[in-house]
Formats: sequence, C-alpha cells, structure tokens
Amino acid sequence: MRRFLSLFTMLMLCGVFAFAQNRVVTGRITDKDGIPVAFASVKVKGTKTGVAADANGQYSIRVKQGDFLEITGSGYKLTTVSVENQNSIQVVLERSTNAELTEVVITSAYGIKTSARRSSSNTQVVSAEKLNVVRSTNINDALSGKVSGIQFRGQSSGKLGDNGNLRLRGEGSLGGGSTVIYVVDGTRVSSSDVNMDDVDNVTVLQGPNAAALFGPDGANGAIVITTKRGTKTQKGIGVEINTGAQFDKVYILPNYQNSYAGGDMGYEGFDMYKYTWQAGQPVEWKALDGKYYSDYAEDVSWGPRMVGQEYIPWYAWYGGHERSYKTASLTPQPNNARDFYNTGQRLNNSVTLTKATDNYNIRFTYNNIDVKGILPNTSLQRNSFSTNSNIDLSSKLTLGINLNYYNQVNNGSFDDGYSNNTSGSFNQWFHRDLDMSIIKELKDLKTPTGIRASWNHSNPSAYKASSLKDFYGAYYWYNFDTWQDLVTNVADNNKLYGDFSLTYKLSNDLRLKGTYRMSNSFAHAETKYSSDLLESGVKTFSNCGECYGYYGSSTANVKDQDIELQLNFNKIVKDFTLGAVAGVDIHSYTVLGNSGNTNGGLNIPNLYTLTNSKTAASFGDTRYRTKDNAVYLTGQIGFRRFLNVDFTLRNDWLSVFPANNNDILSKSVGGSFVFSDLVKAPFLSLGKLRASWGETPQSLGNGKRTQGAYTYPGPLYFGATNLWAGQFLEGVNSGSVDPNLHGAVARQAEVGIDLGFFKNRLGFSVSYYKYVSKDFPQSVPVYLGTGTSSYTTNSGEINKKGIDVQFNARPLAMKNLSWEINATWAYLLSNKVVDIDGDPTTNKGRQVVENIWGNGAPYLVHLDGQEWGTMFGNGKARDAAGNPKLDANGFFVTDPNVNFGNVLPKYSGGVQNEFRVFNSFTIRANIDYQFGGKFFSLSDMWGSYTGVLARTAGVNDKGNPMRDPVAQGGGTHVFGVDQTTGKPVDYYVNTRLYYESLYGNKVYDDFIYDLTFVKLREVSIGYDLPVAKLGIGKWITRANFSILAKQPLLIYAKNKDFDPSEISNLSGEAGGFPGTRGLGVNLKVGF
Amino acid sequence: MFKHKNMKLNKFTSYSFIALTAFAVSSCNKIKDFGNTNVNPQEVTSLSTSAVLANAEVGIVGMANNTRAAMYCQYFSEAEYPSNSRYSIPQVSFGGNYSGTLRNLQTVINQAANKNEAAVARILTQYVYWYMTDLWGDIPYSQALKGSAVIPAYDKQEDIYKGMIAELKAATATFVAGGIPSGDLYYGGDNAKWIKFANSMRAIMALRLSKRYPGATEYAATQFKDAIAPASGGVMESNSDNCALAYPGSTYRNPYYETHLTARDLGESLPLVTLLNSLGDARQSVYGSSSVGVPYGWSEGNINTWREANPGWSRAFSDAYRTETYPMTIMNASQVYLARAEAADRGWTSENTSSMYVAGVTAGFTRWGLAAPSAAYFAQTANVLGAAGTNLKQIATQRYIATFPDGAQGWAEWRRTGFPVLAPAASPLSASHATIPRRYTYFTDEYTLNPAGVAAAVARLKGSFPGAQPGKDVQENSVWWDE
Repeated sequence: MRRFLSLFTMLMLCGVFAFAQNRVVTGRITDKDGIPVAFASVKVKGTKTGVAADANGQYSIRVKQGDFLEITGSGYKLTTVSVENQNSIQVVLERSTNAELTEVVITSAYGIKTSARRSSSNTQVVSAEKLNVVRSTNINDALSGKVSGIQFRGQSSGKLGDNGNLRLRGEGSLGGGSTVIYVVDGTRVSSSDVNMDDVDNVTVLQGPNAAALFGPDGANGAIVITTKRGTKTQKGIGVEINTGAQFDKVYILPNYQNSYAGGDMGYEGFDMYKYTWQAGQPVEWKALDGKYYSDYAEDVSWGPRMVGQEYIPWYAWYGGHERSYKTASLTPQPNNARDFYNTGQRLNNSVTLTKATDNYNIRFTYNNIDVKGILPNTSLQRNSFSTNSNIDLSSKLTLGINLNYYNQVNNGSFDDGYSNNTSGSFNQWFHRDLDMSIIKELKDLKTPTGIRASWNHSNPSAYKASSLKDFYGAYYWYNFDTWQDLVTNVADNNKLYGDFSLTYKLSNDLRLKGTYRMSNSFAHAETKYSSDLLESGVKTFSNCGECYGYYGSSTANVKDQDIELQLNFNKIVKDFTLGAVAGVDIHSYTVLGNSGNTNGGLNIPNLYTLTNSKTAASFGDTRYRTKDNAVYLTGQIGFRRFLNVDFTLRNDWLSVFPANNNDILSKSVGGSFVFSDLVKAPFLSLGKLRASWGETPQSLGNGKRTQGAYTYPGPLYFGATNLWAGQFLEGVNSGSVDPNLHGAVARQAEVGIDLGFFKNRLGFSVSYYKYVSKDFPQSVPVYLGTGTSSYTTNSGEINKKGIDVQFNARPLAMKNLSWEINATWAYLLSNKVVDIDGDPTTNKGRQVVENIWGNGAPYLVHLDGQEWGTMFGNGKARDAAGNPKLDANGFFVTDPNVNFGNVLPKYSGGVQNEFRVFNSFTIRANIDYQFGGKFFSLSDMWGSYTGVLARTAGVNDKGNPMRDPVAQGGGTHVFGVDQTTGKPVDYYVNTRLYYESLYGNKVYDDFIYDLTFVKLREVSIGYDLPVAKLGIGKWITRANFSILAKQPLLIYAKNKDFDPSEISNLSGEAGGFPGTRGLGVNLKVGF
Repeated sequence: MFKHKNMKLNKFTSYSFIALTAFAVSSCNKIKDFGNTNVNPQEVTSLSTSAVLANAEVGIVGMANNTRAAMYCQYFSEAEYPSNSRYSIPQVSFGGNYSGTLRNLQTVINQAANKNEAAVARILTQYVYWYMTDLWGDIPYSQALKGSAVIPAYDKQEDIYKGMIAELKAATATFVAGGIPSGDLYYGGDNAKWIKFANSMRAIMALRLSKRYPGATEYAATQFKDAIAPASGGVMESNSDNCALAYPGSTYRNPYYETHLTARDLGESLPLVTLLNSLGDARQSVYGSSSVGVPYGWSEGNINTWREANPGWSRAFSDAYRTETYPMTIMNASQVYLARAEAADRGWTSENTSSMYVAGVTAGFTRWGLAAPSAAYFAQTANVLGAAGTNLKQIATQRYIATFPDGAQGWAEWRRTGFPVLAPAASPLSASHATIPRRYTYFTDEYTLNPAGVAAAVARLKGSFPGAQPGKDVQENSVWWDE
C-alpha cells in the first residue's frame, strides 16, 4: 500500500509543478440555449497546447495575447475565437448540420465524468426525456426496458412508497441477491430519495471498470443520477411549472369462479343449512325461521351453487340497518374483488426556478406529490425541495452546493403477504358471493354492545346471549373496509442529503476539490390497531397478534457522511489527452434508533401509548456504526480522438474486518479504439472496439460497506427483553466467525463493439461480459447438528456471463414525420453458483434464500453447480417418462425434492418507439419484456384450496359440473401411472379433495408459473403548444401538454392470473396487491 | 500584478499540497485504525450460565407439549382445517434443537462454575436427545455439537439409548452439596429432586427398550433396576417431585392458554373422551371443556359440518386448567409408578405390581387437584389387575391417560405397548399414508447438508407395521426400539 501512496503523491507533485506560460483565460462553452457542451476541446491554433473542457463546459487555458482558440465539440462546428485582453471567453458553439449525436456524458463515482466516445465499457446513459416518457415518481420503474442488462422487479402500486428492485446483469452475490446503489450528484441515496423532476440523466454503471471507483458499495453496480443545472435564459430567470395527474385502476386480478357461494358445505351436494329459530335467540331472528343459509364461518367458497335462490345473507343477522332480518337472492358477484379497490390518484406538481450568469448558476425545485392509494384510507404525500448551485467566488475558487430535502408521509403501507386483509382474502380465503357495495355500506355497522359486523361471522348455532361476540364477532376476517378504518400505519420520513464543495484551480490543469457529503434521514413510524378489533374478533388473532389492540412506534436516524479530497488533472499535450483524479474518501455510517410496541392488547381501549400495554411492552434500540476510508487514483490517456486507455486503483479500509486485515485493493484497466476514424467507410459513422477488466471490492452483507458491523468477531451473548419470574434469560449466538475474515474483489471482463451507420441513423452496440466473484466474505449455512448455524468466512464462487445489446434506428427522418426506435436485449448466458462454502467434502453447498410458505413448499435455494436461485420443494413424483405417479385413490404421490426451475429470466429488455409529427406532436410507446424464470404463487395455492379460483369450478371433460359428486359424473380427471405397477391409470377425483390434497400431500407443481411477460409499460402523446402563434410567447417560452398511459397492457404472459412483472418476492408472490393501469395528463410550461 | 497572483497561487498550492501530503502520510496508520468502531454496544463477551440454563429450561417444556405427536396418540383432534391428524407428511426439522437448546446446555456444561449447574445441564441434554430419537430414530449424537468443521454421523438409536442411560447415571454422580444459585426454573436448585428426575428418566428409557430386551436379566431390566434402586438416589414418588415449569403469566403464558386465545381449534379427541367416560374417570373434567369429543382425523368439509352441529365441542383442557399461569409438566410421578408397575408385572423387579399401579393411578388424579379415585374405580373390569404378567393393557392404558397432554411420551408409549387400541384417521390425506405414523421423516436440510449421515440412517430403517418400506424414509417405518 505504501507504494500506492507514493505513486499517488508523485502524481500530485507532477501536476503541481507542471505549469508555466503567460496568462489564463477561463470560460464556459455552451450551445445557443446555454446548455454546456461537455468535454469540448480547446486548442491554441497552430500549437500543440490544448485543454479539454469539463462536463459543465468549463475550461481554462494559458494563452498569449493574439492567440486564436479553436474550439470543437462532438456534434458541433469548429469555432475559432481570437484572444484579446479578456480574462474570460464564453463560447457559443453551433450544432453541426450532419446528424452526428452530441457527446454523451458518462458520470461515475465522485462526479468524475467522461465521454461515451472514450468509454471502454458499455455504460448506458438515459436522458430525462427518455426516462420520463410517462412522468414517473419511481426511478426503477422508469428505467425498465431502457437499459440493456437491467431487470426491474416491480411491486404493485397498491404498495405505497415501494419502488421495487433493479437487478443488473443477473446476480453477482449469494444470499437474497444484490442491491444496486443510487447516487445523486455523488451522494449515495436510496431509490425512493430521487426527485425525478430534477434528473437530467442517468448513467447505469455495470461494467467492470465503470463501477470500480465506488468501492464496496458499487459491488453490484450503480445508478448514477446527474441533476439538472441552472442555465442561462433570455429572461435571466427561468421558471418552469410541471403539473400532472394520473389515475390508476386495478388491472390484473386472478380469474375467480362465479358459480358457487362462500362457506364450507362438505364435499358433495352443497345444500344450504335450514335455520330454525330457537328459544333464547333474538326474537327478530324469527323472521328468518325456516329460511336457508350458507356457512358463514369457514373462509372458503365450497358453498351452494348461486342460482338466484332465496337465502339469508351475512348482514341479515345484525339489527340496525335497512337490510336487517331480510332474506336476499344468492347471485354471483363477479366483480366483488375489483369493486373493493379505489381509483388511485397521483398528483405531481413542481415549480422550478433557474438562473445562471457567467459566475454562478442556481436551480431550485419544489415538488409536491399527492397520492391516493387503491386501498381505502391510504395516501402518500411528499414535499421535496432541492437546490443546486455553483458559484465562482473568484476566478480560481468555486463553491458548489447541492441540497435536497424531502418530507414524505406514507399513510398506509399495508402488508401484502399471506392472508393480508385485502388481496390476501380475495385471492386466498374468501366468499365469492359477497356484494362489495354492501360491505362498504355496512362498514360502520355495530351491535348495540359495540361488536363490529363482519361477513365472516359464526353460524347461528354459535349464538350465546352470555357471549355475543361468539356469533357476531369476526371469525377469521373483519369487514375489509372496517379494517382499513381501524388499522393505521403512518411512516413519516424526512431526509436531507447533498454536499458542499470548494474547488480551487491550482493551475490550468490542476484542480483541488474538497467535499463534505451527507445523507441524513429522520424517520418516525407508528402503527395502531384499534381495540375494537379485540371486541369484534373470534379467531382473528391467530394470524394477528396486533388485533388485541396494538401500538407500535419507532424512530430512526441514519447518518451517512463522507469527507472527500480530490485532485483533478487535465491536459492536452500534443496528440495526447491526459486526465487523472486522485482522492481520499473518509466515510462513516451510523444508525441510531428506538422502537417499542405493546403486547397482549391495550389496558385503556384505543389509548395508543407504550405504557398502556397489557403485558410488558417490548423495546428495542439500534446502535450501528461502520467507518471506512479509501484512497483512489483514476486516469485516462487519449491519443488523438480514437485511442483511449483508462485505469483505476482504489484501496479501501473497512472497520467491519479484523484490524490487521481490513484493506481491499482493487484495480481496473480498459481501452477503446474508434477505428472509424482511421478506416473511413462512407456508410460507417462510428466504429469502436472496446475492452475492459476490473475489480470491485466485496465487503460483508452483499458486498456493501454499510453492512456487516459487529459480524466479526462474534459470537457474543445477548439478554432477553423480559424476565421470567425475576430471572433473565440469555441465549448463545449459534453463528461462528472465521478469525481470518477479510475483504475480497469480484472480477469482471468485458469486450464490445459500437457501430453507427448512415450518419448514425442506424446503430448498435454489443457487449459480452464475464464476471467471477470468489472467496468473498459471507455467512454460509452450517449443518445444525454441529451446534453451529452459520459460519462467516471467505468462501464461494459465483460466475456470470452474458450479452448486452442496444439497438437504435431512425427509419423515418422527414420534416414532418420522424420515427426513432431504441431497443435493448440482455441475454444472461449463465449465472452459476459454482461453489458456496469452498469445501466440497462437507456438503454444505446449499443456501436457502427464501421460503414463502413454510416447510416443504417451493423455496429458493442456491446449490453448488446450479444456476443462481433455484426453486425446490415437494411436488409430483414421476416415472422416467415424466408421468406423475398416482396412489390407489388417484392422488399424486409426493417427491420431496422437485426442481421447479430457476428464478432468473434468461432474456430481458425493451423497445422504445418515438414518433414526431409536424414537429409538435411526440408519440412514445415503450414495451419491456422478459423471458424465462419461474415463480411460485401462494395465492394460487390457497385460492385453489378454498375454491375461490376459476379452475375449481366449471365443467369436466364429461361435460358435467366438476364439483358434482364423482358418482354423478363430476370430479376432476386425473391422469398418471400407478405408483406400484407403473401402468397408465386415470381417475375422477372429487374436485375439492383434489385441490385439498395438492396442499395436504405437498404437491406444488400446479402453482409454479413462468416469469415471462411482454408489457406495454408506457404510452404518451405530447403536444408542444405553439406559444408564439397563440400570442402568448411574450410570457410563455414553451408549453407541452401530454396524455399518458401507464402499464396499459400486459401483452403476453402465460398465466394472466398474477402479473409476472409485479412479483414481490424473489421466488414468487404470497398475497400481493393487484397491478394497476394508469391514465393521466401532464402540462409543462416554461416562462 | 501577474507576479503577485502567481505568488499567491504558488503559496496556496504549496500550503495545500503540503497539508494534503502531510495528511496522507500521517493518515497512513490512522486510515486503517478504527478504534472501537466495530465493538457491538448491545452484546457482551461473557455470559451468565444460570441465565442460559433458564433459557434452555423454558425451551424444553415445549417438547412436552408436542401437539402433532399428541394427535398421533389421539389426545387431541383438529376441529378445523385438520392436517396433522390426517397424517400430512411429518417432515419436521430437528436441527434447531442442536443449535439452540443443546448448544445453550453445552455452553452451561463447559462454562458453569457451579458443578450442580453443569450436572443439571447434562441431565437436560439427555432429555432433549431422548425426545428427538423417539420421534426420528437415528440422529446425530456422539459427534454432534463439535463445531462447524465436524459434520456428525447419525448414531444408531441403540447406541444413543445406551449413551443416554450411561450419561444420566454419570451426571447424577457429580452433584455436590449446595444446590445451584439461580436459573433453575424447574426445581429451584434442589439436587435431590434433580437426581430423582434423572433416575426416573433413566427408568422410563430402560422400559422403552422392552421389545428389544424383554428378559429380566437383560440390559433394559438391569438398567431399570439400577435406576430405581435407592442407592441411586431414588425416583419421583410424589407429585411434589414432578418436573414442571410454572408460567409467570403476562409475557410468558401457558401454551394451551396461548393457543386457545388465538386458534381455538385444538379439541379433545373423541377416542380419549370415550375412554375416560367409559371408566367414569374424573380427569375428563380436566382434559376437556365438555364431554363432546371431537371426531378424529375427519376431512375438513366433514369436520366443519360436524362442528356446526356441535357448538359445545370439547376444547383441549377445561377452562380452569388452561389459565395464563397453569404449570406444564415434563415428567410426573404417576408415569414413574406405572412404569414400575409394568416392570414388576414383567418380572423385571420384585416390587408389588398392584401397589405401584394404585399409587400411579392415584398420583395421576391428585396431580390435577382431584380426589383420589375410589376403590370402585379400580374394581372396574377395564382397570382391575389380573395374574402377574397379564396386566400390560391396564397399566399401559392408565399410563397413557396419566401422560396427557405430553404427546411425545404418549405416542412413544402407545407405539411400544399398542394400548389403548387406536383406530387410524377416518380420512387420511393420502392412501399411501393411511395408518398412524411410527416416526417423523427427516427434514430436507438433512439430505442436502448431511447427505452421507442421513443416507446411512435411512438405509437402516425398516418396520413391521402397514406401509413400512425398508430403507425408505417413510413415517410408517419404525424407530429401532419399535421394530
């Protein structure tokens, strides 16, 4: 390491003493709109002296009076200016008429920028315009399909405040998979911290050397966001108002059966119960004497056929409303689940003020997002303020300030797991005959003693005057709308992030920059369950300990800060362009939090304080701290404009590792060759070959530096919260840790070619990458019989390789009509877990990652030698030909170890179309897709078990209702081979028993689906108002109105019951909220 | 002007550069030294062995309340969504017992300063292994708990039993005067009671091998006699010797109280109600909330329809015995007396079968605060004892009743003696698994994390009951002592 430090010192010295010459002129190079021209080259005519402007178009160069400066930028005409006696020369470049693309700027760690032309790896940049085809509030969703190598794993918009996840080039670590980092102007944030209206462009770093500079955080790739800057406008001050509204309706719901009502009426026949009034029951019930009812208590739909017959509905038993004690007719309610959901509403308004002069630029945005969720009583409000500015305090010294603050109140992030109170009922445990409008109408209905009415109450035989709750109370489920009223979750999150920097120009070529960077969040969350739930529940508590009445609250303060020092060197020497950055980063990360919750209910009903806990309240406190330091050096050497070499060196020291072995050295190197500059073919506008190789450091906790505190040295001892009759209880940590634990690096190599034809009207880019991560620090599961549950050590090997392709074309480029098409395709050739624990002899090559549903159901596992994330579980035992084996009653025989396939899609990508008509209409349509991969649907399993889903009703192959008794020609036809003779057999099995036995005998094959989908994700039609023609050009500089559709169409999916693009867990869904399709309008006006 | 500017620049540059270099050099050591940053403020490096022992004791009581096993021996029926009582595959993991309770106990054995504390941990360790081997058969024993580097082989149940019996005897010999300071939630550090518990356990273990070693001079009889010999320290002889855990209530509550608060669907089974009522047994008023027993092993649709017609069905335990603080028993004196009665009946000992039998049945009543059974109770045909060597049915049936609600012990005894005669579930989930299970099957983790170990154990499996398949990991195969 000392050698590296001295190299670092040398570099700085070289820079410092490299200046001579006469005087300095500085300036900024912009286009006619004041937009900076990044990396423009500035040369003194007739000499070899030259500099490259930075990404903001800023340059400074040493000149003599009478020199001429020649300035060019990619996509711009060469401009020559003469040097008089001015100290500052602002240059406005004119676009060249040939349609060569403007320079795409790639942003890496610490704000280091380079041009795409020079880049040695496939680094894709998405502009704000392409990102916000439909103005988005979620960066993950907005990137879907637009970057090759990205897989977006979405989450229903019903889950407020949840942005889903991105996966870059498959998975590069074990465990539950990688997490990419998000960086806004150099500051690490989470995906939900990004103010989408501020985004100027997004650089997606997934290549070997691209992410190398981020240190351990960048182990899985980085999404680097550059925000917009203040630019000069004619009026001095720029004002922009952006206002939009979007309305979301529930889209994909499973296919339900609409023939049979709720309740459990046995296996055959499904006759209703006759009610006979008995002494001691309410006299009002006499009106129902002799009438029929279906079972109310069991939350399944194996009830009577719905043919409009008279019956006693659930609400008839409760007094006090107009339907009391009256029968109704039993009719199908095909839309009841859909009717429950509200139309979601998303208002998104922002005001932006900008100003720029020669000496400073500033931009300020206020953004308000107001969301009404599809679940009743849910909403999200967010107010964000952001400002960034650069101020030239002198010709040498620049102050930069980037500050972002937001407050977000998420009112109602409800559980979307198994048996949740909305989709977890509708799709899993439900009565198909419920009329949702009556549920809503009666949501405040109570008995005189205060018991809340529910559709899922007990049957009349349970009536006891001494315990009214036994009948009137909710058996398993409360009224859905009552639940939304009685349960509240509020998460109030405040976040302040950004940086302050001072940059000093030591010379023309050398700048020194000091930055203080921080990201602080202050969060408070509260959960309340009304005591009414206790008063109104019978068996609801088995899944809901909080239903006794509950209060929980937590506060958390997360402090993430960096002190950075950076020396930046840029120079053009003869034909060479030299650039180098050396720096130090001192980082610390602290989480401090307190939490508490009541247990066993509330003493005083509906008083929400921790001291009101029935039994001892639980408390928790979090104190978590990591620190790490890094030094780095990165450089780029260019020869003319066609040859480039780049490299990085970074050394990290991390507090989570043993003090004597806590550093990680990582390196990268790359090169690019623009051969089209040498071999001029008339049709070839760009031809570039590139290759790169690099290492990314791997720390604990999926490689991230902010994780893994206190893992080493372990194991230690901890106390229980509560005393057992005065005796405290203590447990022994069952994990053990390798005393030689240390960091590691993952290695990736990439080669690629970029081609542009016909003045770049057609282009494509192909990259092949190969990734190997070996002996990384991780916790591996250990056979429990050893007395140890896990061993944290350096082990494992994971490999992946794949191909990323981007394609772009402009098939039409006429005056009044143009068509641009961009497409991405990523092919994950393999993503193999070569080894988990590094020791094949101990057979520990298995890591369970996720288990959606307990023992034996499909679970996600990593296995030595298999692709990342395989689903295993109990399923059908089969013969050699793949036929399922059947037992003597026609039920499947179980195989405990069935491989259900891999959860990673093989291909993913998207297609973006853009049409411009008459220069004022822009029509965009974006499709994204993925092929391959499997998921398990728990809702499908329960919805089949309970007779809620369509497959459990209808007719069988004899043309008879499949729910009819087998003896009468009903039943489900099952084919297979006899488990003992191996001969083909077939049986008709009682349909209810068939689905019950799939669960009971642990046969899960029928609930596994393909992740494959093709989705029309975004459509927008925008119109640029002719402000000048309308005579309002005096006040309004531009105005754009657009109509947009969000997720309008799931074009293809094998099973359309559960949208494969919105699966919330790695291996499937457990009760997820339905997906939505949105329609909206947006107006953007500049003043 | 220029000069001045340059000088300023040079100065600034030099200073800042010197500062930077100084920083870089001086930081060379600082940059990698994080002091106590990585010291967890929420954990300690030393432990209180008594607190760990208490934790283990709290965990172990769950083993005496295994409701799945209790459904196999038909103490309980599922009144709603029946699954265990219809013989869903008992693919249950035992791993957590090793990394949890056994590791805790081993820590006490290794670190306890107090010798009695270590002895208690050794006794409880054998209880845990006993519980596991009776459910699964062969399990890791002699090589278990040796740390992540040693993947243990599965020991044969025969060796496990002999090891447990020897270890219990050895552990009782290590007690020294003075009890243990704190943390013993079962006996409050009473050495004599621990010795009685250990000896009682040893006697019951020995008797469990009666199919394998039936003779009066064979291993089982010899060990039984040694265990109950006064020289060994005696066995449980009154309910005050029972090994039980009293619940403090509030945060830590009686498990049946807890279950009833939420699920409410665990019913007293119809076969048990029928048996108790046929004997006019007063314990029926304790074991259930009414005398409407829940039909056993019915299909879901049918049990729901039945429940609809029988709202007064009997819940597990009557209300007075299902309170927040009601203690749960791990082993009771009645079980021990009845074991001695059976041993005497077999001719293993010279004790009086009848007096042991009466003492056992009586303790089984008084344990619940009930009056001792009358002479008429004993005079019933089903209860009356006959000639020596012919009384297994009566003794085993009484022991079955006395063991309630401990499913693990109840199921094991039923498997060994066959009494009372139990009919399998009316509607098993699968035709392939239609008889009462004889063992649990091994969990998937065993196959992937210890394949060699489990393969050897499965190869040894066999059985003589319907559905048994030699060399297959099925629930119809027997554990070794049941073969």
